[in-house]
Order: sequence, then structure tokens, then C-alpha cells
Amino acid sequence: MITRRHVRARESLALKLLWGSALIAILCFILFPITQMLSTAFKGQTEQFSFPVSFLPKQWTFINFEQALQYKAFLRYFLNSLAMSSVTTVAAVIISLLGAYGFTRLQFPGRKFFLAMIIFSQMFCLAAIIIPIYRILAALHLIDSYLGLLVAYLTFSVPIGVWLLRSFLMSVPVELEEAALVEGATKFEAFRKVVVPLLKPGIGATGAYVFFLTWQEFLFSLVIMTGKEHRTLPVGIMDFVGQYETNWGNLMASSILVVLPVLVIFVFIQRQLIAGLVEGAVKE
Amino acid sequence: MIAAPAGGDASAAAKRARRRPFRQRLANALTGYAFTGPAIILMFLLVVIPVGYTIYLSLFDTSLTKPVPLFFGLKGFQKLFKTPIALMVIRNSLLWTVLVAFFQFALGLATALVLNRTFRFRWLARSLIIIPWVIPGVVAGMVWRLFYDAQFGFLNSALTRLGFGNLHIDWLGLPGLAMASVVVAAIWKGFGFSMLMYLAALQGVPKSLYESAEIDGAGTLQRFLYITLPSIASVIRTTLLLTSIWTFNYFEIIYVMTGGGPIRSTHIAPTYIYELAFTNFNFGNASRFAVLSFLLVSVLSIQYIRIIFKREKL
Repeated sequence: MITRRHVRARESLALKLLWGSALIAILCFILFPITQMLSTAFKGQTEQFSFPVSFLPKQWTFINFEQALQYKAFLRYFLNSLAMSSVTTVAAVIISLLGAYGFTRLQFPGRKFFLAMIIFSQMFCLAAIIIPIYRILAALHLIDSYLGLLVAYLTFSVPIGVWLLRSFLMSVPVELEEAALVEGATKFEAFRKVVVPLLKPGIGATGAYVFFLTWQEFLFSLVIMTGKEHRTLPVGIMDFVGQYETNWGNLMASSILVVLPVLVIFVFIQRQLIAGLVEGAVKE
Repeated sequence: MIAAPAGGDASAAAKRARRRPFRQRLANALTGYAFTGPAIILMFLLVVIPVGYTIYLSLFDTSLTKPVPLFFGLKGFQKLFKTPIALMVIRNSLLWTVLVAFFQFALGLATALVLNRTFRFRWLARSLIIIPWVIPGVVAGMVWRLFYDAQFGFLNSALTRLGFGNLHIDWLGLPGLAMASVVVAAIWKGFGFSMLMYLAALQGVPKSLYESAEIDGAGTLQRFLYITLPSIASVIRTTLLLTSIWTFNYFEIIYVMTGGGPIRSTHIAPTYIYELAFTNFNFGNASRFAVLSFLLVSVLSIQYIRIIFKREKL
């Protein structure tokens, strides 16, 4: 008996070490590049380009953040991104909320086909449909306009919105709506007064996810917004990348400024968002 | 097979619905279209028509030297399959998708297993591990470009400090090596999603299964192989499908890190389409490549949609 327990204890110690070292290895892989991002952002001009490379700044400085914020275009890009992401989020959530409700709760001919079409379009390579979208927008004189970019952003935000909201809706019991319908409410009233309030956390998570995707969108912004003052942040920060020399300090500092808002949003919504993603993607 | 009785239910419900008066069915259909109409019309305008237009464009010979696009049907595709660059890009695309999706699966599952155990500061470890997934792709690409830099990158200086000699490897400058480097960066950027899916699946495996296995004397590896893996197999399958689709379509990390170079060795379908269309203005060739990638991605997307429809018994 004693020896057996002894063996088990030793085995679990070895296992603990194994699990612990796996965790440390994963954390190193994750954090090492991030260390360089943070360290470069807080290094001064001379230290950035000095040898041997030091992992941590010898003298911490905020000069890169100051320079990024003083760079006039940066503020403009920031506001562009904020406006584009907010408007897209509101538009996409309204359209996909109605759609998700229709696809989960209502019966109509072609429901399955149209739902398949919408889920399918979420998986299309954006680079592959950007040529026709570019040409359509050009024909409508919407190149280099916020409206044009909004329309382009709906191509990916609406399908993802429908997909996520549908998974949230499926966990809302049907009985409450049915009760409202029995009491004489119309479908739309039942939707607005019963479903929407119950779905609020899901709507919040979906909105945040759409904001998060739009905030970092790169390709459409790169192709459609040809005028410098109309660019959004992900394309805009490339200003710090030079043909021959890149101002890494400024670039990393402004990258941190780009990441912060979405990181904050993510901290607040992660529980809801992850539940929705898991439910939408894989739940049996 | 299992879905059969439920399918019977659904068809019975449909029969009942058919017996309802025509007027009510019409009203139901109109309500349905009123709700889903905006989304359907938008997707029609923004996805279905563009895809059709891309297919149409792919039948024309266009280039800057030809003022009028020349219709030449499927000949363009024949030509495409004879150009070495196109073949290389297809090969790169497949290699990239398989490697990135596979390692996101392997690393995602390993990380989920680690995080599924209880230990102090687990919440902190989980939050740190998810950071790359939250970082915008452009930023991730720039961070890795700096990390791989021959002079200032932390990777070279860490290897130097570990005693591998005074290294100045240009990780993104050599064909072959550059591909491996961008693959590693993409794994880093995206495996958090797989990890979240597997962690959720692991937490859903009933504890009683493990307890009875332990009584039967099953070891850690046996429990993993005979309980954990089968229980989460379907989640693994759908997650692999989704991550493969997303990886195939992923544009910005390669665009930012290498722009497809050196000597086009890291071009994948999206970056190559972009180059053909917006650098060379050869919309015909770009569209042919786009059609090709539609077809490749559709193979995976159709699988995914079938799984979704089956599980919801639609």
C-alpha cells in the first residue's frame, strides 16, 4: 500500500513538472514577441538602434507615444477608425438582429437556402471579391468615401452578426414570445418587447465583436480609401514604415495605441463573446 | 442516421403547416422576408453578384497593354495552370493552410489541456495567452517583422545569447525560411481561437467518465486517447474546418511581413490576387485566381454548412 501511494505521488510530481514546463514554454512563445513590442515602444531613439540589443529599455521614455500622438494624421486616422467602426457596428447589428430572428424563429420558403448563402458568404476570401466590389463602388462614385467603406464592411460584418446572434437566440426560450403572441402582440412587437430585451447580452457581445473586426480591418480600407486623410488606423500606422528605414519606436508605440481600445473592450465582453463563439462555431 | 426520427418530426410539422390556410402561410412568409430581407438583399448585392462578376471577368483576357478585354473563355485557366508562378502560389497556399491550421490545432489543444487543470493564476495565464488573438493582424505582422529583424530582432539576439554564435539571420529574407517564419507568426496570431474552442469542449466532458476510468486503472495517456479525444472529436473537426478556411483567406499578416517576397516565395492566394489586381491591374488573371480560391474554399465551407445544418436538424 505504502509503496503504491508513494509511486503515485512521485508520478504526479513528474506530471506536474511536465505540465508546468509546457505552460512556461507556451507563455514564452506568446510573450517574447510582445516583449519586443513593449520594450521598443519605451526605448529612446538612440537605444532603439544600439548594439547589443537589450531586452528591456535601460531608460524608459514616453517619447514615442508623444511623437505618435503629435503626428497629426494619427489623430485623424484614429477618429476615422472610431467613426467607421461605430457606424458599421450599429448598422450591422440592426440588420443581422432582424435577420437572425427571422432565420431562427420564422418559417418562410427559401429559409434554408438563404441562411446557407449568408453563412457561406462569411467564408469567402475578401481578397477574391474585392475586385468586383471595387468596380461597383467605382461605378457609384463611392471610392474614397466613408459610405463606400461602410458598404464594403457590411460584406463581412452582417454574416458574422447573423451567425453569432443566431447562436445567442437559440438559447432564448420560445415560450415567452409565444405567450406574447397569444396575448395578441404582432410578431414584430414580440420581437421588440420580448426578444430584444432578453437578448441584450448577446447583442452587446455581437456588437463588440463587429467593432473589434472593423477596427482591425485592413484590406478594404487599403483599397477603397485612396485619399490619405480618409485612411483608418491599421493602414495609417504603416506611415511609420519607411522605404529604407522604419521608425520602430513610433510604430510600436502607435501599435499599442491601436491595440488598447480593443483590448479593453475584449476584457469586458470576453465571457459573453466566447460563449457566443463556442455556441456558434462548434457546440453540439 | 440518428437524425432520422427528428427529420420525421420536421416533415410532420411541415405537413401541418401546409394544411394551414393559404392566407396565413402568405402572411408568415411575408413576415419572414420582412425580417430577413435586408440581410438577404445586402448579401445578394455584396457577395452573390460580385462572385458572379468575378466568374464573368475570369473569362476575359485583360492587361494594361490591351485596351479592350478579349473574351477567351476557359483558355485563361489553361494558361494559368501552365505558369510556374501560379502553380507555386497554389502550392504555397495549400502548404500554408495545412501547416498553420494543423499547428493551431496541436498548440491550441495542448494549451487547452494545460489550462483545463487547476492552478494558481490560471486566469492570468489564460488572459495572456489570448492576447495575440485580440491584436489586430497588421500590428501582429509588424511586431513579428521587428522580432525577426536581422539586426534588431529579439530572436537573433536571444539565440546569440544562448550561445549559437553571433547570429544575424534574416528570417524573412530567404525563400523557404521566410515561409516557415510567416507560418510561425500566423500560428501565434490565431491559435487562441482554437484554444478557446477546445477549452470549452474539455470542460463539457463529464467528470464521471474520468473517475470510472481511473478505477479501471487507466493511465493519463489512455484517458486522453480513449475519453478526451473521442469526446471532443466533433469540436476538433469543426474548429479545424473553420481555422483552415480563415487561414486560407488570411491576407494581412503576409502582406505586412513580406509582401509575398522574397522572390514571391511567400505569396498565397489572397496576396497574389491583390498584387495581380492592384499592382499589375490585370483583373482577368486576378479573377481567375479568385475563382480558383472560391472553389478551394467552397470544398471546406460546404462541409461546415452541412455540419451546422445536421446538428440543428434544419
